Amino acid sequence: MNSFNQPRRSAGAWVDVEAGTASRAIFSDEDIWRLEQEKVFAKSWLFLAHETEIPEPGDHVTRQLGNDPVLVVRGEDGRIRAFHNSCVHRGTQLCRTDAGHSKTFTCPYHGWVYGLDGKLQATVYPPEVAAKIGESTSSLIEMAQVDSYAGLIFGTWDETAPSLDQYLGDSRFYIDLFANRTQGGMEVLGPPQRWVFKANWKLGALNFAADGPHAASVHGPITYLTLQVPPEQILQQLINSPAVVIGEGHNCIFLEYPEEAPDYAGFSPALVPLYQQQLNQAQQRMLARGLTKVMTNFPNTSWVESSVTFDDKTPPIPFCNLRTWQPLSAQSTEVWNWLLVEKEAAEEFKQQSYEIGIRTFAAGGTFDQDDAEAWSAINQGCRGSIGSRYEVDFRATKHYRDQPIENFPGPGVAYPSTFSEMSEFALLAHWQKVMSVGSDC
Amino acid sequence: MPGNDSTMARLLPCGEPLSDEDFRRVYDFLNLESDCLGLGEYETWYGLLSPAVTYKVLAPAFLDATRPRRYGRENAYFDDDYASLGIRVKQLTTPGFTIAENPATISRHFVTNIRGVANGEGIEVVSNVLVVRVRSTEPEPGVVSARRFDRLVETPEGLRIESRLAQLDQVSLQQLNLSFFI
Repeated sequence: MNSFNQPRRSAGAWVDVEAGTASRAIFSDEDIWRLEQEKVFAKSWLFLAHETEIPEPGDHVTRQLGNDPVLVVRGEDGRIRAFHNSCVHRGTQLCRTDAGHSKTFTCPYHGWVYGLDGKLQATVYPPEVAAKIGESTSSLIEMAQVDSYAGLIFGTWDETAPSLDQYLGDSRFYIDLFANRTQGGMEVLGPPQRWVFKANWKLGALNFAADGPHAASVHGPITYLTLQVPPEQILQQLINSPAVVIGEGHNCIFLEYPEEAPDYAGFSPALVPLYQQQLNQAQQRMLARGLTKVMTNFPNTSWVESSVTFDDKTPPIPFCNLRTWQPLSAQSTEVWNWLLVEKEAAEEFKQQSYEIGIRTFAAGGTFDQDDAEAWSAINQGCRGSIGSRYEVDFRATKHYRDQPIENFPGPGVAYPSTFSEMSEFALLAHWQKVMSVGSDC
Repeated sequence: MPGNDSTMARLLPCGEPLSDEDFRRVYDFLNLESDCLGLGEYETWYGLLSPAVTYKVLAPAFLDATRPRRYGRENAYFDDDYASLGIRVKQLTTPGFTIAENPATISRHFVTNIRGVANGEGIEVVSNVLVVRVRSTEPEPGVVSARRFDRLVETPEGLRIESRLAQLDQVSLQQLNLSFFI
């Protein structure tokens, strides 16, 4: 039975693209979460770090991918590698710091030593024993592929995965608007913030794919307090701004400036000429007219940029936020949250952008606080034995799916309203496709 | 006293010991402030701030003892001034302006280990704070703890907070958000 308000739990039927619905169980079921770890997270390219976090050979940072610790290292050869952060001897977590610089990594338990390339250099055993246990050939468990785009380091555990360029595909056009818009590129403003909310990772990924309607109901008041934009105006802009289904699970929305606003309103005038040098005409047009842009790269890397001010003397300052949604369990997610800024920007601007970023989209952010509350409330509504039998509703897609925007300047298929739910739902449709690979359903 | 100068500066800023009377005023002030925060009396709390206030809440990091490496700016959860805190207070106190605090969080601020010195800048106060928090959507109590460095200044209306630096104890915050003050 796939009719509305009927249980639907079998793989391949979690998302009903035609009906515009999905099972609530996908947000709470531990079996589905376990399957996701194999089908989605072990197969996809996952964001690890920004190159400016590890600029020198020997620099490293540690990360969590789901419940797996990962060590990201720049080697003596300048190459960036990523390893499962565990000693091959007893599985002990090898590096227990958040960031560091070293020539080797020494296991805290038995003292096995690894080079920056992950190769075992020494054990504590006598030579004849070491030879027998294969000391010279043992290496850390390495991610199958690691590559960068625009300073963004991604890795995948799947050696058969397509290249990163292929995986990101057309979304690179939009990533450029966030992170590849000047010749020098971006830098992180600091280490990532981390916090945990009690709800499924997909709720964050979907919200940033992105959920237009919530921006009016949830963020309307703080938008009014900070920018003095009346809620009705925000609502109209959201209704009249595009949602883009980029393809392969990547999706975004744009909240466009009203026609009367000048180009690049909210951006630093000093940086605009650099954007014009770096971006193509279509990208320039989208950057110039976009007040807010929000995107998720499948499965769990998300972006948001907007311009906000917290006093009546300073013009709005843009912040650029990059984050991942790490699936700790079916009902628990850890956010890793970075702020980026153009390397060429003035120090004063970098500080302003940093302050605006943490006041808006961060654990203490005035926008983020309401999102996390909504996701926790969804978790409450979806996790029970009765609630999980029912469905979530994306039926607005039925109205908009046959109304693509013709001649949209960017790649993908754009729809005329962020209220269409088209881009958000497309992430779920792709998720189901990936989850169904190799299954009988 | 044990410890070298840098250790002592880390433990307590330089200055003259407080008189018993001044210590009592500081103690009462911090308790009043924590009650304002616990009871959601945010406008009264805002009145306890100097217009020149700086308010920072920082995340800690696990670093190697022999080769620590930091990069970028401080990892701040809050980096606010009087104007931005004013917007946060308006968001929290205007009915319907934030679902994160509607219904309001039930919370309690426990302030302990208070010590203070007086110097030319004002009264420098070090304390520990434990915030216990219960949300309707997360009924298990959440806990946030921090070490705070405050500078209090004298005004005709009494003591006011001119700066606060709260150093949190969790690298990964076990909270869905920080829609409250530390």
